[in-house]
Amino acid sequence: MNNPDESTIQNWLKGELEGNELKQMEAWAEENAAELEAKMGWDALGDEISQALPSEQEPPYADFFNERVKHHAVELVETSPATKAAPLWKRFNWILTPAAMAGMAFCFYLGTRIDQDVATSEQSAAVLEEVYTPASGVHSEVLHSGGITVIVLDGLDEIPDTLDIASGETGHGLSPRMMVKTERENLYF
Amino acid sequence: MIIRLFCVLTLLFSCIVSAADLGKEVIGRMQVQVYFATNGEASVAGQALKKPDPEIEKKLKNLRETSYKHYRVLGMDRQPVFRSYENWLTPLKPSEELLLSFEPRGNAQSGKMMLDLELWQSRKKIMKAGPTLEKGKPLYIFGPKWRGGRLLLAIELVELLQ
Amino acid sequence: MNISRQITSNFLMGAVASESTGNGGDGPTDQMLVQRAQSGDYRAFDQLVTRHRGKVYAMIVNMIHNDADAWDLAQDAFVKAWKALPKFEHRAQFSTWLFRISHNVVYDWMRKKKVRSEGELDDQLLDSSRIDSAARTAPKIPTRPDEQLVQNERREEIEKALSQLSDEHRETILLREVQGMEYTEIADIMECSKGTVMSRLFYARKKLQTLLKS
Repeated sequence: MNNPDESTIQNWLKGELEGNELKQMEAWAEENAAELEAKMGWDALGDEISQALPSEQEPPYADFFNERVKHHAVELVETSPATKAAPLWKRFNWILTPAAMAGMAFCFYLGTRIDQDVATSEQSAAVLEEVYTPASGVHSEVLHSGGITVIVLDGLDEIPDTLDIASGETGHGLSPRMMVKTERENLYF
Repeated sequence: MIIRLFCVLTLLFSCIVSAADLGKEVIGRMQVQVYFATNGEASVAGQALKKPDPEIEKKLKNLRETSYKHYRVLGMDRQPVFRSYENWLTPLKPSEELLLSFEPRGNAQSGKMMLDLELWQSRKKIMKAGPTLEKGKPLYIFGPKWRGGRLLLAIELVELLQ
Repeated sequence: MNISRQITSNFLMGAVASESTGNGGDGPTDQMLVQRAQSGDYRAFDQLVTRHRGKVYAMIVNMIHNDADAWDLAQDAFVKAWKALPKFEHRAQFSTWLFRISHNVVYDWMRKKKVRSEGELDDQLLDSSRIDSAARTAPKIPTRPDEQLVQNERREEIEKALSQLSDEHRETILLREVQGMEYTEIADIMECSKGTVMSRLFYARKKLQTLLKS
């Protein structure tokens, strides 16, 4: 392709070129990137962006960063997850929502009628001085009933269905168990 | 002079070592059981999972917040309580999706122990509490939802050595 | 070898080394460290981590605007690199290969966070109102406080504009304009053709120009 005209360039930028025309335009752009940049008046903004954003930034606790990499790469003994059963839950996915809704409505009804004699003679199992939920959107409710203490945490992120926690799968991230408490507090509230 | 200095240093070192040992003394044992509670199909959590004992299942069904129909035992962990050190429970190991850290606050009194308890989900702290636990009487926590059900934790002081 | 030849030889060796170490010519090259690491020498890999962690961390922070998660993801990238090291064939530079791993780590994370967008929509994670400008690093060149304020404001505008691009467009801009990578390297990292890199790059540039003018 010789010098493409302005409308071709604009169409290319909008993603409206196809087939041979697209290939030719991409090849031309590759060969004439500097010319295209000059046409767009890009240089000044390009320089601004490269000045504004760091190309390199030492991670916090840099020495500890290296130690954590070593720990996970070399020191941790990894156990392979148990052989997974076929994802049976997927076949029953369609009934989960209506079943859960019907079940919860029924539970609520039963909850207003449930007999609390189960453990009336017991004293409260746990006295709670405070319950604190640091994550925004999460709140807690403490219930004492029949000698049993229950904390209900609402607003938590759901564990992804695809994460097979029963077989030992776990998400990304540095384990808080591996950190000294003070350093953990700095990173996680 | 040198001998006196040596004696003082030895005494000081002994004190330090003794103090460190005291902190690691085991004063109890904590346990957490994680159950999958659902009104849908329980096998979605995993086909090989067991139901809890009937007595426990009855207790779970009578918890105020729930009347879930079905329960499965997802995992369990039991760990010592150190006098002055934090410890961790990893009930779903090797998964660390749920973790509990605990540390005693002071000495146990009248068969009860006060603890600093932190619950972690996906490596983030989701709850911090200061329960006073009594042996054999669990604290229950309704946690995150998963696969159409909910995770339920039963945290228990199973042994108190003081 | 006489002294003058020794000096010349050292000068030339230093010059050659500096092109491929990226560390000013001191110490072994990336290739040497990788070869040692591939034979099981973790200390060699640790040197690679120290050498490249700044770039990897900066790239991930610029992509996801979350320092704590970027810290985790940067480590994940290095752990994956260590495990995949036996498969590294030295056809590309180690840094390019490492960036490709980082690219995959970030995209896997984004997928799991369910914030991936196909078009130019503001995705939840990079909603510009959630970008904490206080989390940014200092500018590269030390400046007076008044100049610093202007620079900070401009940086915020640039970050806000970048957040309005799709993940692929934003990454292309960051790899080209911030990391200074060549088109072939970017294509290698993002596992796409050079033509796609070009179209993404120029589209993103045009979009940024529009956003930053308004």
